[in-house]
Parts: sequence; C-alpha cells; structure tokens
Amino acid sequence: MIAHAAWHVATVSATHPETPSARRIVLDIPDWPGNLAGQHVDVRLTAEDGYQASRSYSIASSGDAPSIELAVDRVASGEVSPYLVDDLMVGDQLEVRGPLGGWFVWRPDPAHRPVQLIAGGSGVVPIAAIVRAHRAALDVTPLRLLYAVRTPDDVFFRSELDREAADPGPTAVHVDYVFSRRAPDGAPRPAGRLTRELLGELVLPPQQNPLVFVCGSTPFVERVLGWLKELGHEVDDVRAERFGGA
Amino acid sequence: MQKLDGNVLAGPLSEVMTGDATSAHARCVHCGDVAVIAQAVVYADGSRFVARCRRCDSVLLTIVEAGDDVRLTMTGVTAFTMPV
Ligand SMILES: Cc1cc2nc3c(=O)[nH]c(=O)nc-3n(C[C@H](O)[C@H](O)[C@H](O)COP(=O)(O)OP(=O)(O)OC[C@H]3O[C@@H](n4cnc5c(N)ncnc54)[C@H](O)[C@@H]3O)c2cc1C
Ligand SMILES: [Zn+2]
Repeated sequence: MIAHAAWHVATVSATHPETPSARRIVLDIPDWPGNLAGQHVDVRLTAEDGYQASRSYSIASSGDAPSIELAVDRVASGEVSPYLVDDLMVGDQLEVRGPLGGWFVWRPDPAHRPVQLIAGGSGVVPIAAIVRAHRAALDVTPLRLLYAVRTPDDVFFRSELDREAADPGPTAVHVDYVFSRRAPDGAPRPAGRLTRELLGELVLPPQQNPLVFVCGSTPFVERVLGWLKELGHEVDDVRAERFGGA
Repeated sequence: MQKLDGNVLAGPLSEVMTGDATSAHARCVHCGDVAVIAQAVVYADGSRFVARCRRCDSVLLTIVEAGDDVRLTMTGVTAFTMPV
C-alpha cells in the first residue's frame, strides 16, 4: 500500500556535507505517513514576494519514521539546488509534497528476483534507499550496484556502500564503481567513462532475469537504457528515473 | 525545458487522483503502445509538464500546476488503468 501524497510542513533537523558539491538534509515531518524505498518528494520554496519554485528530490531513507533524508547536488546557476546545498539552515521550514511515485520503488521481495541497480552521480539517492531497505529487512534477494561517478570524492553514501563492500555475508550488496575522471589507488580499472562493454561486464545478464533500476542525469539514463536493450534486457524489466540536465 | 520521465508527474497527478497514477497503465491512442505513466517521456518547464509516448512521441497528456489549481488534459491516452 502506498500512503496518500499530501503537502507537509518540514523542518530541517540536520545537514551534513555529502561531497564537495552535495549536502545531506534531514527533514522532520510530524505527520509524515512513511515512504517506500525509491520514492521522492516535491520540495516547494516560496519567496517573500510570493514567487514559488518546486523541484523533485528522491528520499534516501524509507520506513515509518516521521523524518526523511535527502541528498542534493548543487547544479551551478540552478534556481533551487544552490539554495538547498549552501543556504538552508537547521530550523528552516520547507513545504514538501509526498510520498510520491510507486513504480521506481523496491520492496523486500519474497520471490527474491535478482536486482541490478545502476546509478550515475546523484542518481544514487533513491538507489541508496533501496540498498538500505534491503539491509534493514535482512532480505536475501541478490542486489548488485553499478555506480558511475566522477572521482572518489564525489561518492554519495560512502559509509553505507563501504559497509556493503566490507560485509562477507550472502546478503551484502555487491558494489562496482566506474570512476570517470579519477580512480582511487588500487581500483580494479583506470578512470574512464562507462562503456557498453563495461556495462555488460558489471551488470547481471538477462539470463538471470534481473529487475533493473537506472537513475541519474537524463543523458546518463538514456545511454544506459540503449546499452541494456542492446545487451538483451527487455524494456519492461528496466525501471528508469531521469533527474534532468543537458 | 528539462527532459524527464513520468516519475516526475507523481506530485502533480496526486492533486487530481488518489493512489499513484504514475503506476497506472495507459494505451497511446496514436500507436497502441501500452506502458505505465512513469515510462512516458516528459518535458518539464517549471510547473508545466507534457508527457509523450515513449514509442511514437505523440502527446499523451499535459498537466499544469498554477498556484492551487491543477489542469490535466488527457487527449492521447485510453484504457487508463489504475492499480488498486
Ligand atoms: C524524480 C526526480 C528526483 C530527483 N532527485 C534528486 C536528488 O535526489 N538529488 C538531486 O540533487 N537532484 C535530484 N533531482 C533533480 C532536481 O529535481 C533538480 O532538477 C536539480 O536540483 C536542479 O534544480 P535547480 O533548480 O538547481 O536547477 P534549474 O534552475 O532547474 O536548472 C538550471 C540549469 O541546470 C541544468 N540542470 C538541471 N538539472 C540538472 C541536473 N540534474 N544535472 C545537470 N544539469 C542540470 C538545467 O538544464 C538548466 O539549464 C531529481 C529530479 C527528479 C525528476
Ligand atoms: Zn505512441
């Protein structure tokens, strides 16, 4: 069951730097009905003169708690994201509509259908919610994550992802990074852009019938969707979420 | 104008329908493709959204949020089926 979406008043209870360009924001929402992993909210800002702007942000958390976690990347000269990353302060209030979306979501799965997660940059936010929900539920569904990101400093949810990598147990998510600009020492491959060949190597093959989630900038998602099709994945086995950007 | 997909319509559509309309299936009246609304190609300009068929690019629906009003025009879809 998906909770009914409505506007809520949210109060910023904490902020943390996530990367040099991104920030994690915790919002307290007393009447929040809870949300599923992968859902998002619409955040609405109102200026003193009444001008309003709203943008969608994925929720990095899930469950029944009356609070949600967002992670916002600064888009240079953007209208909303620089404000959220640089100016918003603990105690500030925002209007938030949600929980939203019912298709780009994952629930603990009694059938244990394998899941391939593919994230580009900040597109990892709803994917991180899925990784965390999988761990919280002690679900044994095989999950694999391919995370394409510029440099090691740009990785979101580092501690959550390191915890998966460090866990030898059968339920840990297998994480592969593709660093486009700079790879850390000892990385399995040098820095370079994601290619179709690499994608084919690092994602579960169609023969395993995975459900695939792809999220990131629109050009990233569209490139990956094209390659997945060429690799033999059925379009309706792939769930995509485009964040925008040229 | 941003190129997105039907997931972004979840908020605006929640103002006119209960339940998650982005999980609804609909058929494109132009080419017959059946997809969930989340799979549509969406062009967003502020609070104006145009959803197009992923297969033939015809307009499926438009939705405009202006203040407290939401205007939905569904000219390009049929057999709109909400999960219950
Ligand atoms: C369903 C959904 C979930 C999202 N979740 C997140 C999230 O969890 N974290 C997050 O940081 N963002 C997320 N986004 C993107 C977010 O909604 C905004 O688009 C983003 O913050 C930019 O807003 P802005 O007002 O700063 O820029 P705008 O003023 O809207 O845009 C300014 C310029 O930047 C370009 N631009 C816009 N968005 C991007 C982008 N993503 N990448 C590169 N260039 C861009 C535009 O083409 C435009 O030219 C999500 C988007 C959607 C649709
Ligand atoms: Zn069509």
